[in-house]
Amino acid sequence: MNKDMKILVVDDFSTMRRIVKNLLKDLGFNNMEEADDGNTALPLLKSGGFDFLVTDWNMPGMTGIELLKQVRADESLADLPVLMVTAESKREQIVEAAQAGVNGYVVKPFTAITLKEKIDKIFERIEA
Amino acid sequence: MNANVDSLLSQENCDRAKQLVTAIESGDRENVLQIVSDMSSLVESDLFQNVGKLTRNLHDTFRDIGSESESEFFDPAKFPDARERLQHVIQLTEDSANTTLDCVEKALPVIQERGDRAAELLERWERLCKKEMALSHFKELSDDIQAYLSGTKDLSATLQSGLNDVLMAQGYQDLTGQMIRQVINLVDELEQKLLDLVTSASSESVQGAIQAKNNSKQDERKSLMQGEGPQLNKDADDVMSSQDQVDDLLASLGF
Repeated sequence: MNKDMKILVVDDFSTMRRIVKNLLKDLGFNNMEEADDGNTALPLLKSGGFDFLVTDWNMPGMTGIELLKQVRADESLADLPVLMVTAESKREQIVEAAQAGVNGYVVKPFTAITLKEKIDKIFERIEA
Repeated sequence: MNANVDSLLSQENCDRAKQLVTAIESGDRENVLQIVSDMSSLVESDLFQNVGKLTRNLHDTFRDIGSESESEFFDPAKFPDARERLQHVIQLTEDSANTTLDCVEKALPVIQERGDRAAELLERWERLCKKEMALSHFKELSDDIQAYLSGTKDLSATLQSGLNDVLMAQGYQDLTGQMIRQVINLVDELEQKLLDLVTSASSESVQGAIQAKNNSKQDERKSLMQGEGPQLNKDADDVMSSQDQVDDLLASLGF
């Protein structure tokens, strides 16, 4: 896994963005940007250069699930690994995310270890 | 409505009451109906005035808070849910505060001790540099410095883990924020319905509200796709209560 990869962290709560960024920093990642919903995230992603997307689901404006669908529908972003970190925990929602092509799904409240495990797993798969 | 009771104690109403008694005794149906209707309208207009005042207050309060969410319909069944959500907010904030305080209380004396010890070693080191220390004491100082450095290295790892706990404990802000937002939406709905009630002051709008409530099932999927925030009832069949359950579900989907 390339520790220099560029990561976009999307959550409408700035505290959660800080938590996720700090955890990622602890895992050795330093190249991060943030956005507060899908509407602000999508243009950033389209402007290029991102290797990994970590997004919440429930956000005003464009939700995380909609963002995921738009990412998969965009030719240049279709293969971008996406980890969902969200409080949404209904079966139907997780199935929806899986069908939309999410690479990992972490439910809040989560632990640093869970986040690390899911990220490791995503990139093990990609690199395999 | 108590404040307006006085206005009901008028001579005019007393006369009406007497007329009502006379009308009943004489079996004058038309007059009985007319008088009862007149008198009840006195109370009804009070009711609407009070609802109006309440709505105005609510409206002002929430305009001050700056809530902008759109109201669709009002479902009274959401109240118990709102209460539970606020209870859960208290629980989450309390847990987080305790976790943070535990970490701080553990870290503070340890840091203090490290600082004191460093000050003491520094003083001895400076004496050595100024050649005020007998060489025989140098071995002792060097052992103490080695022990200090080794202890500090271990401490740094412990502190780092404690600070990570504090970091994770701040996740409550996101979760409670989502819950409070839902309660604000509920109060917005209530406010809108009260406004409707006053505006039309007729039974139609209440009927409309009941109708809208019946349509709520259709909104369920829409709500799921928008996101519902933390689920309070972790035991419900359609709710994954842990990361393990999520992982199992994803595994069953071929992940």
